[in-house]
Amino acid sequence: MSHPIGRRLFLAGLGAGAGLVALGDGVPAALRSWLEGPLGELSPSDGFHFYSVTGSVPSWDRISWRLAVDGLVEHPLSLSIEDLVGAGMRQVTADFHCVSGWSVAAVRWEGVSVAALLDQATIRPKARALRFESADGAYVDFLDLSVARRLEVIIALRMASAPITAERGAPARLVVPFYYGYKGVKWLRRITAVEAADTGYWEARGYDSDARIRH
Amino acid sequence: MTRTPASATEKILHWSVATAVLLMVATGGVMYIPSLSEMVGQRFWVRTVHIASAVAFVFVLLLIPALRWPEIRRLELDLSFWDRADWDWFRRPWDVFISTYQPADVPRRRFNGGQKLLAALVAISLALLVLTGVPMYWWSWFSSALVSRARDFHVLAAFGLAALLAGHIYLALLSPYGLLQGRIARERINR
Repeated sequence: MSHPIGRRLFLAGLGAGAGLVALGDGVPAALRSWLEGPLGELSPSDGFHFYSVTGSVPSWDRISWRLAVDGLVEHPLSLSIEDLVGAGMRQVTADFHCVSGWSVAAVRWEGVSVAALLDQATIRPKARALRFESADGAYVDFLDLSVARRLEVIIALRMASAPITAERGAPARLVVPFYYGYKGVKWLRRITAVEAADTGYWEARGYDSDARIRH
Repeated sequence: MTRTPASATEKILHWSVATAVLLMVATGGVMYIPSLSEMVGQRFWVRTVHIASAVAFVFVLLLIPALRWPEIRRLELDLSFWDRADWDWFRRPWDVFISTYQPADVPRRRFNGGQKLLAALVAISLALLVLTGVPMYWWSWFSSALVSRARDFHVLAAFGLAALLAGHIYLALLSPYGLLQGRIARERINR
């Protein structure tokens, strides 16, 4: 006497999995740590996965590094690390959400607000958006000026009470705490005031232009 | 156990699915494991290959049954139906592990219990990976909580699948009828 056990097993497993995804509370933390713990180095140590759209992490040195603020501004800026620190550091604590589903709770960033830099550079009336350019030579993204002026939008120099590491975007990265992580341009080297926002790197490759976190 | 060679359709199905799955495992590993992500970079291309492999996998699973339904139906029946003799594989785990397991000589049987279990578990893993991949890809249509749950189960199913594949490859190479021992046995017969 034989029974279609394989078929039943498949249907039960698929049904249970689909039900838990639709209604459940994720993989319990204990199960996740049991799975990921033994893998040690394979798992992200600080909860962040590494994303780069090029083949390497841009190198930089503290002496010569500058952040340019240019475009539709009255006073173009070329800012060193010390200039940014001198512009007034702010602290922003927020959960970090990636569109692919992983999150890091309560990340503490320290940096200078974009609004403070815009005030220094004096934005021209025609400017409606900002273009943020990464030193990796490929990644760009845009923010509307009204969004960029919100005080919690910062150019972060520190993360979790330490300078941002190379993997997380050193020496400076954009932090927009109410948007998904892909708006946070890493290895930032230039902010350009422009007349209108264009499509960013991922938006040009199919991502939604509305990056607000969907709670 | 009757040794029935796989048909051309079954070989095409197996190796096209295997190619797509290995590409998904490799690119998924590069996206998930930070040291590999840093080594490779190129997130857009790695992600594109991962998704294209998933699309190719689903396409193969639709196309081959559409073209060769009777054969695929027979294969599904062979893998799905279990009888008393199938439990023999589970009663002798040590023989299975050290690759000395020889199935009972039951006529008209193509798969042992382990192969049937593997087929069901791999099918569950792959179905869950495709299912959870949907909200991960179309993230803007879903809440972040659902995408997060989908991603957790995607990772869980991927870990499970990787373990199953490791066991499958180990036994496929080393079992008495496996690729290595099977070849050695054939060489002995030829001598």
